[in-house]
Amino acid sequence: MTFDLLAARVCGAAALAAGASSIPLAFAERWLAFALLLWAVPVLLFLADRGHRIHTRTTVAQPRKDTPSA
Amino acid sequence: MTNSTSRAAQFAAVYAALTASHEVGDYWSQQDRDAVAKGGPGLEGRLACARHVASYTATQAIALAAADRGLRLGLGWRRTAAALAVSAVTHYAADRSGGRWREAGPSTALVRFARRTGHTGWLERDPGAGPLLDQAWHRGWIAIAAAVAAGGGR
Repeated sequence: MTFDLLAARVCGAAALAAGASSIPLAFAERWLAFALLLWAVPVLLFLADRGHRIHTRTTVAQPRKDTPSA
Repeated sequence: MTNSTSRAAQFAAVYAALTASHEVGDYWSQQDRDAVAKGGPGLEGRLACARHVASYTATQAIALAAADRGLRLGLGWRRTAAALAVSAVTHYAADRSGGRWREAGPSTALVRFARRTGHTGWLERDPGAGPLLDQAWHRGWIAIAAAVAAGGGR
């Protein structure tokens, strides 16, 4: 597992946790805390997506070791 | 058909589905005991409001799924879930003000917002002002929810 993939998964899990934690705040009508926490969800999802993209790009770009060079 | 046309069609179809199901969910799906208690204080009021929002969101989810399948809108599940979440949370925020629009003094965040934006006189004069502001709030957020569902790449 590359660092990018690990970071992407951590960001994804954090986004899920932030989204889940915001539900009780909305229920309790603590709207400011809810908005502050919810703001983190798209940011973390964006970072997770970036991590996945970088991981995919670097994995695809690396040549296979068993491929004979020309 | 271009991508932008597709998105416009998606937005229009999602907005129509969410608006139609809003009417059904906000009136027919709502239980009378929840309608009476949802604006009340404490855990009882919050639970009543949450029950109403749960049935309301389920109604909207069914309508969106039917529109997506019937019209082949090709909505992504993540954006659909986000759109339903926008609708649900903002609906809860507004409906906690149920029956409290004419309250003087400290009230819900939305009632305070209505007063700060110059609607105090209307709220005091007209018993229908609160429900009208409530419905206008819902429709505005439904449009944003439709944009969330229809936005993004394909």
